[in-house]
Amino acid sequence: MIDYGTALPAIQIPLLGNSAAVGLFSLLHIVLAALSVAFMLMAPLFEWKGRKNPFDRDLALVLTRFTVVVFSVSTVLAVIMVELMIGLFPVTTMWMWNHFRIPILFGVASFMLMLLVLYPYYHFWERLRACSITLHIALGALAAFFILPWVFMLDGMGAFMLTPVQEAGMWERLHNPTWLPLVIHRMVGNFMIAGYTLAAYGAWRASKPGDPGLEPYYQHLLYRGWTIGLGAFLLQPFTGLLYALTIHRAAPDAHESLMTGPYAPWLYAQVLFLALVFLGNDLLTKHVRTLTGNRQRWLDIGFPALAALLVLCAAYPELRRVCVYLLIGLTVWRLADSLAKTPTGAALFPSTVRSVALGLALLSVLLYLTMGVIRESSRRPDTVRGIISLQDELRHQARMEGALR
Amino acid sequence: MEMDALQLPMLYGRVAIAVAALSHALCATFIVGSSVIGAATETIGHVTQNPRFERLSRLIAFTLILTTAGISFLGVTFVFLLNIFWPQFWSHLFHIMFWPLLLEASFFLAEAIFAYTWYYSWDWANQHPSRKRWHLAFGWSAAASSLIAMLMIDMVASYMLTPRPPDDTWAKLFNPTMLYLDTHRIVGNLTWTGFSLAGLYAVGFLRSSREVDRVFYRWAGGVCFLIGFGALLIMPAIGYQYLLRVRHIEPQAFYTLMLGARSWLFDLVAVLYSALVLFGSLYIWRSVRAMSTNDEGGTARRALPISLLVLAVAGLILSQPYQLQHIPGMQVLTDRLINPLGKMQPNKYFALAFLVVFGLMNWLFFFRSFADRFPWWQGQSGTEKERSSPGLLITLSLCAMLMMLTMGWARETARAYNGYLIYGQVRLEDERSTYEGVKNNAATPEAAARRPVSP
Repeated sequence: MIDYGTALPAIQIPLLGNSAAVGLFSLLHIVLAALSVAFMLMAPLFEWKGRKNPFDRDLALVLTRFTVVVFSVSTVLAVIMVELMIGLFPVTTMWMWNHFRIPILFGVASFMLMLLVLYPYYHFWERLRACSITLHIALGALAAFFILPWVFMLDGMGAFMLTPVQEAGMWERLHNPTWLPLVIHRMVGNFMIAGYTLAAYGAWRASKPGDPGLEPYYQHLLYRGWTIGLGAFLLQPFTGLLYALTIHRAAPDAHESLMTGPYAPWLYAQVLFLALVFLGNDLLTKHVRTLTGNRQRWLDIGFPALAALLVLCAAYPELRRVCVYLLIGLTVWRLADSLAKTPTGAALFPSTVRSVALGLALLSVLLYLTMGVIRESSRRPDTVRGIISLQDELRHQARMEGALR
Repeated sequence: MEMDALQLPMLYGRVAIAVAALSHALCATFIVGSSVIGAATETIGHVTQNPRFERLSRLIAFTLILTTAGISFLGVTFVFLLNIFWPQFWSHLFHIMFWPLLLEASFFLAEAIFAYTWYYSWDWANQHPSRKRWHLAFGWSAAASSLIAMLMIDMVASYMLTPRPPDDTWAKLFNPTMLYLDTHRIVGNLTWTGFSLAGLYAVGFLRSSREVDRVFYRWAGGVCFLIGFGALLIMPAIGYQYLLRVRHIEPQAFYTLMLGARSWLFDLVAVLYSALVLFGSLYIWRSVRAMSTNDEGGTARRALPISLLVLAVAGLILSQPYQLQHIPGMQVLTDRLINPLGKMQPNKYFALAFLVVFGLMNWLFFFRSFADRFPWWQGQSGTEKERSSPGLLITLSLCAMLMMLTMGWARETARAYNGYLIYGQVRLEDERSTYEGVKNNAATPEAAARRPVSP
């Protein structure tokens, strides 16, 4: 194509390396995008609940403000990620976008509609609510609805790279074996990190509310956030199992490389974070247990011991699963038992809550990102499993250098 | 890895890319202009302790963050479309211009962070005087980031028209037209943003019911108009230098644009430029005429009608097309190929000189009117004549938008009409395999041998 009569070397990102550079910007984008998606879905629900509870109405506004404020940053991070992909992995990027062009255009159109709805929803909040609260909630729900095709499309492309379907149309490629389990798993994960982040914000602000009258509001945020985060966290092992089983069925070698391959340390890190999140949740409710005299001293020792056992069993899937399900059961039981005996307002207070809530938010993000890294690593050395490999990228670079020379 | 052929006419891809690029560029240029104007107006407000400037800069910051949100998504869409419709060109250009493109996105990220911090920390900054300096720093940082981002993208855009050997880093980055294009675009951004903000405040004026708001919007529209109109008068000088460079480096592209098949686009730019100077001067006249009759503004009131007449004649001459044969549909009206009135030398040079000189004189009258004891923007509410001034500002903003789009199209089409995506290096034809499959793949040795290679 090009005859420059000159030579241009292959692009190499210094220090980080090409894969890590793409990974870094992807992860930065994913954190903000995951929070935004979950907050967009939560906002109209809270606004609906806000018809009775003014705290929930204010919460809906805060969530939407976050989405609007981080939107540009998140999108530009996506641009950088995409540019890195085009520059460093052009074969994979060109091939993938070529094979998903119709779903991509569909997703873009839906995203534009979302933007057209989201901005009036936020910027004319009071004015529209003065006309009709129901209309305003419907606008928020519409924005949440329009973001979903974009999310589903990207998940479809991500899932396809691990479990591709060949000899099929574009929509069939999107609807590959691991698409739906991945959509569910990631969506629940979105709610998990969004919940814990909200809880951390509430806890942080509740400890320094500025205006003392705002303290109950921030406690409300803490409670709501923690409820959502914990609920999603307890669901994650089940959605994760579904996803893992589908991978096992569709791509057994990828599943095997996840468990025993060179990237297995990521799995151990994930299990460690999982155990820490269990412990963090347990710590958060310790105050309630003390208040209600519901100490269950044998479990105060048994619960951390079980979490430690989970970490030790990381390499043994069956044992690991047993530990996880036991921890889920114990968490639910201890919580139900304690919360039944005390009003929820007192449940999450006071002193140590802030640091535990902040720690939980950080851990949930790490857990979420580790899962993403594991998924991406399991394809290696392929970029699209069984279709394009890193070798193809190198060959392309060599061809390019040859053409330039 | 086999790519699916798009099985579409190439025209579809060209239209999709053009629409995405132009809408992206329109918002991106607005961001550069509004971040600079916003930071400047806040600084003036801070130095002069004038609350009107503070309110104006806050309004500009609001439009800035809204546009930043829109543009970031348009940017993603543009990149998606490039990869779908011109994947081979895009991956090659990316390979050559990887760092400028990456830096452009990184500085846009910085712009977004600073712009949002700037807008959302306004109340925080107003609580304590010492915080105001931080706030000003946020605004100027957003402006600087957007200017650097534009510099990076101008390196890429100018390279596509006047490329240098890709392995010579400095030559390709600072290619012959890079600085000219960048300067032209900086001033062009101020023109378009100034007029468009003025148009927005004219709408605000028409919609507001409180007298205090109407006075503010009238003033804000005038200030933004002053910036846009002032920058507009500088444009021909920079544009002339830019075109001289293009003429020396890529004469074929220059010819296409000035005398060739796409010269009608440049005629359209001339029409729009004339309209902007003429309507702008009309706005100045109406504003100055609205001042209370006293000693102030007497010279302006006498000189402006004459100036308007001169501008109308000059605008008429500048708008004359030379190559009638290239104007779509003109054959229906006349068989003549050439219109002698539309000659560049001396007719259009004189016309342009008159437009700039008389426009500058009018701009000075308007600038002076802000300092009068009874400024034009106060106390003229409810009169019939004032309603046309907001209309003029809206018209000006639409003309400025059209001119931005036309100039962008003109620059791109100067390459594309001659079949190039990167002048002399990558041709539109090279992308045919994307649309029709590998049978016509221009990347094959046979296809490469068929293709002429520019020196």
